[in-house]
Amino acid sequence: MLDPVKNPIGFGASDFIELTIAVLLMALVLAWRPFIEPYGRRFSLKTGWAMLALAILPVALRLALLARHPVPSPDIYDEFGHLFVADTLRHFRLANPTHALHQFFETFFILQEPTYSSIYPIGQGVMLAIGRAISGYPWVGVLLSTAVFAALCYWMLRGWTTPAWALAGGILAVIEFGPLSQWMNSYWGGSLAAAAGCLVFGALPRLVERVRTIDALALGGGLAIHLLTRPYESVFLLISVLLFLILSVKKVLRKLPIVIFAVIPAIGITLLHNHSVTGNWTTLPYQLSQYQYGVPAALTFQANPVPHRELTPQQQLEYRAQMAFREGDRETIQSYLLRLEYRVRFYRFFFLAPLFLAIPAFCFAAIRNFRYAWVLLTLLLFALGINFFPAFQLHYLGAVTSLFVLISVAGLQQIGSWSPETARLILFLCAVHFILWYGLHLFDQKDFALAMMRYETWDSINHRNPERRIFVNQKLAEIPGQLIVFVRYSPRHIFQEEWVYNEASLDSARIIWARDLGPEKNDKLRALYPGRQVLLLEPDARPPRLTTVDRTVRFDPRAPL
Amino acid sequence: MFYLFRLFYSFLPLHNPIGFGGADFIEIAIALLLVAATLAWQKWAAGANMLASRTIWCMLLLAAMPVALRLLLLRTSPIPSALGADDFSYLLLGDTLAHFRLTNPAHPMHQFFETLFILQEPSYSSIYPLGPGLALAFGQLVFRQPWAGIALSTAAFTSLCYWMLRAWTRPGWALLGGALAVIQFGPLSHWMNTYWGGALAAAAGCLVFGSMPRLRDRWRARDAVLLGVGLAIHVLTRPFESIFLGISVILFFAPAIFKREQVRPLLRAAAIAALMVLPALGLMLLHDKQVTGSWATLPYALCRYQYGVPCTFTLQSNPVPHRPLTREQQTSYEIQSFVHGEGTDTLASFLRRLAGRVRFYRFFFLPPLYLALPAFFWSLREARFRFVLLIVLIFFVGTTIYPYFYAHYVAGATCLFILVTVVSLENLSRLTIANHLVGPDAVRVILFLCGAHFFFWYGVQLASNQQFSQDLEPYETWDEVNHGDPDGRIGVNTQLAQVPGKLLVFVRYWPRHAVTEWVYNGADIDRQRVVFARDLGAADNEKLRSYYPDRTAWLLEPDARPPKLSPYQQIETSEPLTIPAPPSETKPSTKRPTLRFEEVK
Repeated sequence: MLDPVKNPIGFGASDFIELTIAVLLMALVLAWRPFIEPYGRRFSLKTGWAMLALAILPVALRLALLARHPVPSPDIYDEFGHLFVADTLRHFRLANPTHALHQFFETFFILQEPTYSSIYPIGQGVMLAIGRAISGYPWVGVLLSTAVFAALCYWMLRGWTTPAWALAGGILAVIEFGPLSQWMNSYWGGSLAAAAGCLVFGALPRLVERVRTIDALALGGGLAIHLLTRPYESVFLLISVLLFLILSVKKVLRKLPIVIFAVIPAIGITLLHNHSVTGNWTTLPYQLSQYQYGVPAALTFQANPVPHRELTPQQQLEYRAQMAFREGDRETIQSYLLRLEYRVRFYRFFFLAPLFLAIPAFCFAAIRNFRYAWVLLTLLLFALGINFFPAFQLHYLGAVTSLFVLISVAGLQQIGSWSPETARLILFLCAVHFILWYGLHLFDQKDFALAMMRYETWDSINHRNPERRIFVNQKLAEIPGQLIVFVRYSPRHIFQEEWVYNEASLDSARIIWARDLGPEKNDKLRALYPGRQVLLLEPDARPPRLTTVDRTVRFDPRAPL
Repeated sequence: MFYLFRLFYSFLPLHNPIGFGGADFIEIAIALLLVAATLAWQKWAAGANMLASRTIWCMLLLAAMPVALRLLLLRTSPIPSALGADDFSYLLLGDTLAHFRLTNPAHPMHQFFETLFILQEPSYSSIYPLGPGLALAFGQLVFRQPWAGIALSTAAFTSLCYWMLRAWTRPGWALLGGALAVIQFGPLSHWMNTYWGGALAAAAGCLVFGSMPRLRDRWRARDAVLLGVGLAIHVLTRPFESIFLGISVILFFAPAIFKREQVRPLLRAAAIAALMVLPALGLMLLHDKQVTGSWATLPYALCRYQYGVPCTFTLQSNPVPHRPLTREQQTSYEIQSFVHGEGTDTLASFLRRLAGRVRFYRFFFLPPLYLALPAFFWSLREARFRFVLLIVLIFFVGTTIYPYFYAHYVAGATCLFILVTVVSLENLSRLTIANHLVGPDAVRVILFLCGAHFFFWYGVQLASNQQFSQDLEPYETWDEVNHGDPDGRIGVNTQLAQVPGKLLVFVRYWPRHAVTEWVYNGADIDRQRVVFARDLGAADNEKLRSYYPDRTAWLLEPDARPPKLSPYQQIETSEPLTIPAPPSETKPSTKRPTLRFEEVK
């Protein structure tokens, strides 16, 4: 098909791509003056409607892909950690009691003692819990976060630029962080912190200009949500807020109590969460995990944590892996800068390739615009701040996502002041980029789409579905009644592929996943749950092997499922 | 710039410092090119419009552009080496003409020189018509390099394309058409990077189609001369397709016959044009006589009689060879007969082939231009554009009665394809939607994409020794720029150049040898420093060695990887050839997949 002499019009792969780009660009060009520009301009003035449309757009677009890309399955332990928070919250508690046989449930990023809890702050878990409460699917919470972020991104940009450019920025947010994005197709979060950032950065210019209570509330609300979502990065967020307000401190001073008032509940919830999980008001679950399991890794200026409890072989490997994030024992300026330089590549996530042309234009604009200079300073602060953590994930920068969008939009606005056609062209190319890849995902069982997919970068739709997990879950769904699944890893097991994840309420869960600790110990767990059918899962077999364990025989799985 | 490429090179997002994947690099390259085009348009559009009215300057510029752009590529893509049988046959023709003769005497040991598309008897000659050979001979005589003739043909075509379009459209659009000709048929084109020709016939077509409307408007002798010259060159280049060109001329002027006041100037113009064509016809007849011994037998026709190739039209039955064929000639004959098919065409098979040919017209249109083409139908209200469509159809249908298709078969109509493109764009530029004039923006997008297409692939070719460029080249379609030494011929020639004295190289094919031929010689075999000859076995080879006592004999085994050249030893061929199949550990071919215009059955 993609061979020029084998299709009826003599097109090769690059010709088809070129023609598609041409068709899409042409469509945009033809529709721009008569329809898109005038209607878009008018629509951008209707804040409520624009926010509503931008909230609906990513959700509708993602739902349209469901036939090809179903609701994402969690695969990575951070995702299970957040889902566990959500499940715990769904039971209207902040932590769960320790299980009597908790050694069977040892896994990653979940504390077993003093309570059975996730190590993560509750922000993302709240959204997942809302999603599950509404629809039965935690992922609906992810959709809602994205919807809120896309809408708030437009609102934030309204505080910085013209309505039309704000609408363009909102659409860019949908394109970049919407249906094809890792954030919308996993449970790690990103969008919630980004939405919180929108509240903060959208409220700041409004507060300085109009000194309204509602803006102070928005600022406080944003800070509060971010604190509940990404506590560490909240430090940089707060510093950037202070830097912004420093010159207008007299003007906004009387509104600061309102901001603080809005943040206090979040601080209270954080303290309460700490106490419920760790037994100590000031010890974060995350810190307790570092103390007990040695993971997650410490900041680079801190000493490496040392585990204080017995680790499973997988936990032991994970501990070593996290220690390996740090290249030497001690952080030096050189190692810090090398890491900083390496991380530049991750910023591609926040800018489509054509938008890289807008960045220099924004920097040019920042020379004469104090606020734009502050934007660059804030981004530098975040880049430097998160660089103290040896690992990097995109959602660490969630809060400043709206600033990246602002850079794109303001950069394009600057280019537009020199050459409107050029700015329009770059926007069109972004739209073409999205439509092209979205279209391919819409038809991604076709040969041409499959051939193209390997060239897609930074999109991560269902992060290559964990097919083995889905397979096992389907098999288990076919078995009636309550189950215990003992997970037995082979000696060559890849330690990150953890299977022992459970619900917050273990005893009432239909399936209990437990580590295979050997026949004698396993029998103790079986004795605790006498009514459950027992299965053995060997996930390292290809395909994963599920076998039933005879009730009368001691733990000797032979019978085929 | 290349340092930056190296710094950023890696198509894996996490392996380069800005996190770009292959698609991202391409995307930003396109964005940069489009932005540059937008900015350049704003700055230079007015200037280009002014330039467009200056015919001579435009023609000079358009002539210089493809040549200069191709010469800039010489570092990575040197002067093309002949590869296929057609290439060598055209080069023999050029060499023959450069010796100021139309054919060469048959060689007394001609059985050693049997090859494809070259007659050995009654004279030693290429089977092709003179036109492309004249261009190559000019290059060889003036620049000591036959390819210079190809480059100059391309220059003539691109400048004449503008000249032709001036008679059909406004100067700005004509200049645009000329620029499109440079992009499509210039430095990256098959026509400019092989010896098969295409540009010369296309230039002839420009003369014909450019002079016709001028002639009808003003009945000037100069235009009649140019019409005749165009027809003459085309007859000498593509005799068969000249029939369609002749029909085009007749159809164009047919309405004038019915207008009394135009009959007289028409007859005068026809006489002048005929006067121009007559020398070409005379030259053809003389060429036939010299090569075949008969005034009315084309060398091509004699080759078909002797060797059974090239195959006949689909209306005719397959030819039968009338002389013993070498194994390679036999294979070539069988392939061509297979493509022709048994028996003659049926309506169904003809229509199937017609539909299959559509794909080859991609050569004449860059992908973004397909979006503009439907707008051409708005012009069909004008008789002259209905004529253009009719001529394109005549060429399309007419060339389908031949089983093979190569783009240069319809080269005479190339300028009409450009005209169709330009007129389509012009029509599109007038498009309004909801009282908004959106056409100019749409046209700009299409043109910018064409420009981006060209500069992107030209840039890739310019850096073709870089890894990223080699990774991208498999995705380039319909362009054909030579790289490296795909067959190993350059390596062999380099080795031979290092051996002093006169050489006789016996070419020995292995049992699994494909049809690719290595035995090609110039017009004056005996005076060549290196003579390539077939390995006919020790006894026969000795005869040739005796014929060339002053030459050192070598053995070339082109099926080895790389081709193996060794001093010839008589003992090697005293036994029947039992050469093993090529070893499996041979290096993978670095040959870039190139697009061939082979017929798809």
